Amino acid sequence: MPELMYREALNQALAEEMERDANVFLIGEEVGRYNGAFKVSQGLLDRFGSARIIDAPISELGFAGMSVGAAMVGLRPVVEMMTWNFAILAMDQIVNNAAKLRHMSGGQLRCPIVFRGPGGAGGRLSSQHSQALEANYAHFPGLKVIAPATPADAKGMLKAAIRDENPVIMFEGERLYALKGEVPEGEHVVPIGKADVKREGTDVTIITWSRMYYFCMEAAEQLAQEGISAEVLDLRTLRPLDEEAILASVRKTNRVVIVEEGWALAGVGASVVDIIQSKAFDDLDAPVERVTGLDVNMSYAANLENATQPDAPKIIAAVKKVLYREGA
Amino acid sequence: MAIPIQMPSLSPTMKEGKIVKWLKKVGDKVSSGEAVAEVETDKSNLEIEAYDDGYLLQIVVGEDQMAAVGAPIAFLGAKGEKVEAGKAAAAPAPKPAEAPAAAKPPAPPAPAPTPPAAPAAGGGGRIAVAMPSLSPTMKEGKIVKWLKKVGDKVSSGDAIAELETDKSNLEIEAYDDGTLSEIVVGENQTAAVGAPIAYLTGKAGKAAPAPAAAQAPAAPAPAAKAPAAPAGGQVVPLRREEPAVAGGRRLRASPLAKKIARERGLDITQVHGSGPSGRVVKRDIEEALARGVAAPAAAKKAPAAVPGARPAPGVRPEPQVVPLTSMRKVIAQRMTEVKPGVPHFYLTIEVEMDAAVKVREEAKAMDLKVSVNDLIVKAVAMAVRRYPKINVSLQGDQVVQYNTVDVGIAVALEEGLITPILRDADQKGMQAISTEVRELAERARKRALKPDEYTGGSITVSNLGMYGIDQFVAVINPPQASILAVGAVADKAVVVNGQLAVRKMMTATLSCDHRVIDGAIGAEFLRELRGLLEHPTRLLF
Amino acid sequence: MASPYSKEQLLTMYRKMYLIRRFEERAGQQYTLGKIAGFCHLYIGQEAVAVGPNEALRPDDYMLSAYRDHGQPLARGSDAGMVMAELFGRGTGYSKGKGGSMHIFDIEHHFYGGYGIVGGQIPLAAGMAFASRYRNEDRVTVCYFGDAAANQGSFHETFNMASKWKLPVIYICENNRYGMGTAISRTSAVPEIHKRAAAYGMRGEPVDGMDCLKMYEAVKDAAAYCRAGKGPVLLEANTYRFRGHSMADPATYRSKQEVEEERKNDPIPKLRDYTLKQGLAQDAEFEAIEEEVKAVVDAAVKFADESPEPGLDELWRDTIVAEGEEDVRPRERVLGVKVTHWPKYPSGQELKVTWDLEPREQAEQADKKAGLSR
Repeated sequence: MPELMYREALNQALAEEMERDANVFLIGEEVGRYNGAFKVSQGLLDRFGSARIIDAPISELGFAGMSVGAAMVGLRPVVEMMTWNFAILAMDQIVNNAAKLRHMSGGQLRCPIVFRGPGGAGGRLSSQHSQALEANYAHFPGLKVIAPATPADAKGMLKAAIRDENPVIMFEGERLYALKGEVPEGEHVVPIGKADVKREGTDVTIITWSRMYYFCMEAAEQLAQEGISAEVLDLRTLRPLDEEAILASVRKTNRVVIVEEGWALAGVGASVVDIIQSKAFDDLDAPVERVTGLDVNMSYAANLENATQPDAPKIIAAVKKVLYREGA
Repeated sequence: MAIPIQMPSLSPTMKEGKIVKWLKKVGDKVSSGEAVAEVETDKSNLEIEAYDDGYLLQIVVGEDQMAAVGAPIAFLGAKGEKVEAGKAAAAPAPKPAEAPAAAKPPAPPAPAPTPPAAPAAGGGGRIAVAMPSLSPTMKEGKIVKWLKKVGDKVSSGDAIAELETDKSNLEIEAYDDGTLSEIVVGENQTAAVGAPIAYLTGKAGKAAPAPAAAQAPAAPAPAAKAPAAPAGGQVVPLRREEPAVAGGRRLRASPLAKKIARERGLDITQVHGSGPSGRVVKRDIEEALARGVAAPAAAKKAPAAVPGARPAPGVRPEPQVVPLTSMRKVIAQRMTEVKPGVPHFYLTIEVEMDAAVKVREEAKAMDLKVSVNDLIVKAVAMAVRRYPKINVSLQGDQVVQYNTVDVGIAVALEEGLITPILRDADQKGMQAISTEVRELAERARKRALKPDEYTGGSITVSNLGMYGIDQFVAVINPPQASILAVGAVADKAVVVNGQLAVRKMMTATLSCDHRVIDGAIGAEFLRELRGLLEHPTRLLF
Repeated sequence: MASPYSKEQLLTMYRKMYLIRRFEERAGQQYTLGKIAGFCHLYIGQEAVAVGPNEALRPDDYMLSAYRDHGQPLARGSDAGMVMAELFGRGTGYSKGKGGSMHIFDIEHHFYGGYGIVGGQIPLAAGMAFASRYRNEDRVTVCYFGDAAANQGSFHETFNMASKWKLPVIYICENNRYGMGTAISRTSAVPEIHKRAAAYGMRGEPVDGMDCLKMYEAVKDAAAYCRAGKGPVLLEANTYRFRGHSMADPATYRSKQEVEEERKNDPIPKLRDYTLKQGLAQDAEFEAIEEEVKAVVDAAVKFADESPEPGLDELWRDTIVAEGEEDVRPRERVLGVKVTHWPKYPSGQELKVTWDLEPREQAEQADKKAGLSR
């Protein structure tokens, strides 16, 4: 299987889907002649022309809304947000229009559209450019929210998102784009709504998604050397949550750590904890632990930035806490 | 025909409006869309429009008067037309409170009468809140939960605590205003009826220290050893929710550990916890099972076939001591009183139930849920109605003759039993009986019955047929004077007209209080009951 | 001078304006009776702005509006009873009672909805027009919005894109002079909204919104311009609502005199006078139309009132499209009639995109001029 970077996997998915369906177009800032701010759309303008790879003005609300309109009458837009921080300007169109059209029209309209772009900290960019915002979107009925961690999932889930009949919000990551992994060629579609056990284990379940996945795998490696067998469950989809997969893993290991880049309050992890406590209470051998971004704005200074985010040592500490092996 | 103009709803919150001004007068021509009056709503002043053409015939709601939304405020019609008498008067008053002002002469707005201010109870001194008596049999009660904490303001009528009595869980109300200054009986502790459970301080007063005698004992003594609560208001803790380990500290265990212990019949209080603060976790249970720690006496709930549930050879499980629940205590006490105190005699009769069973089947075919027991309840009620001599109660040196037929139904609970009363059972149809009995039983199991739902009654029906019991005798539930013990309906060989035949038979045994009921009365009652059950159409007459 | 309009055209316009007027009056009455709840924004006074343009458009042109949205679908031909049922919150409404007064959608008649966030529909219209160009159709999109929406970012962001990409969209600003209770002149540096089109190199014109025929002419011309690929048009329809912003609005921010003055400009008698003067119809014909419309509206109220509320099973429908789920066709669902004019879109295999939004040669020339090589 060829090894691709995350951005190349996305590029492949876009190209394949645009080839497959002429209703698909890509719009966003710098997606055309610049070849993409993060090179996800490299080469696509030359291949598909300016009506399908559209350089948008810096008007996030405007082009997001325009794309929703196009989706209402049968096109399948892919809207690239240079980062999700900027998409806050477009939130009205995503939340008040895309997510509600089917409902307001009593089932007459559908809105097959993908909003995608990098979320989370980019690295030394300070507070306005370093936010994990997926919990915001996971809150809204009418949306689907995905956050793949690996290049293979990135390709497969983008393809699934483009084919979905609903608005799909896709969180990628500035620090994910250059990561490499094996990616199946051609028709590789990863269903939305299915979590994936990325590493099997018996002592503790670490639940995560997106970039935090890599810290969790690193932590699991180290824990293995201490004789602790950690299962890593990659949620991949944050709305709808894969309850079945979460509960199955909890029932297996009885101990859970949830790792989330965003803030703790009202985070996605909080909802995962809620599912566990209400549906698997009797399977818990310890309170669920969460490792999240600290409850502060992100600083520019390198040491402060690092201290704000979850990392492998913090995850290892949390795992030991739920295993009652503190200080061990 | 006159058309009403109604008080419009002009905002999502508007309930009524006041006419500020009439813009048209009686006799004026009005066109659809024209403003006829100005109205003051909860939000602003707006105009009321006519939605029909015509002449203003009558103004029902005058200026400065209020009308509920939807009430007619005027009538339109053809020129010179008369509003039908009664139409204006019929101005609908949807609810008395919302009646249009027109229905009564305009009156200056008067302040609502306020109840006289409650006197500062106790002049600011300490007021004891006593353990209330909430059922005729209640001697003591256990505080399940305090709903107010020390320092909270309490008004008369506020629920301040939740109470478990021998029958159900109820709320204790305050009957005075003040501040909760002291809680005497803590949660899960028991106090005798009448004993102070808390003190309120009136408006002026400060919380004075409680007299030492009323203070809760510092160290709860195990209930099993405690004597019955003395009238002095001493408080006896009865039972803890969590199994306690030696030394009285709360048991800490993970949900998973508790679940496994439950399934494997392991006494978790015997397990040493290795988690934080001594929390028992899964590995502790597993180790204990491997070592073979004792299973509690109550382990019979655990599935018998769980492998490894048997304690390791050589270990003999100790019996476990479980204190009596409030309900169990009362049952124990009452039974020892009733059986020697009330002279019972017993009459047994066999009833052929083929016809009654058929009634149930017919009901079922009509999608009506009626059980054989419901039919028995109905038949008992009708038989009591016809033989009122059985509907009596000995109280002191008087005999009370009841004029209503209220049938008790014995309901088994996990911790004991209770007999909710179906009132006026003779007046009720099968469907009503069936629904009510199920509903009462359901609430009995949830311990949600109100005291008046399980006190009094003419007679009780106790049915153990579902357990396969053929025949038994029951203990009377005073103040009632009789109880009917009903066994299972089963196919039996009987002689009918000299021939052997198979019939659905049921045996019923009536226990009577011989002080007020004699054998012949009981026998006549039973004969009537048998007739009603064997010919259920008679229940209709 | 002979009328450029046929009798049939004029009477159709009259019927539709009168229908909207009577419908809205009854809606107002039903609101006061508690049958309609929430917000209810009436169109009374603005009828010409919906009807004139509709008669100048093709039935398959797209249209969408803000939350004062009862008038346009009625002009397009929506079933009055089902619109009223939607206002009543009944299962027989166009959106099964899920949308209410502010969200009328009738896709069969190419009415793509009423939107409750001020200016939120403006980008949608550009996107629909974009889709028409993308598919090389000569369809236009007409988007209504109020004067106050012109101060939203969506207005400016969209106009820039629509003009730059020459999208076939006609924006009709219904300038009724008040954004809720605030006169537009009090909050706008340039209260003449049509002038703002100039900032985006776009055609922008004022129109007398109290005159159905002037609205008709303006939109007829704008539609031809759009279909010719010349880009978007902004029309500012100067109109007036005779009622408050919503049913709960006492309208104390304007004088009675002002309202009385504007009522003299009522577009409905105006069209009737014109037709009579042209000798194209008699009073009796108008009266017959009025009687007929009254009956339609009364029947609509009756239909709504007698309709059941939506079933609770509807709660979980229409949030997410399930796999293989079809779109709901309201008249088919409610009235059991066969809906034939449902929009159809070419599949991704059939569609050939020939449009070049930014022609290659043009881009290459620009690069060459700048001394760049790609």
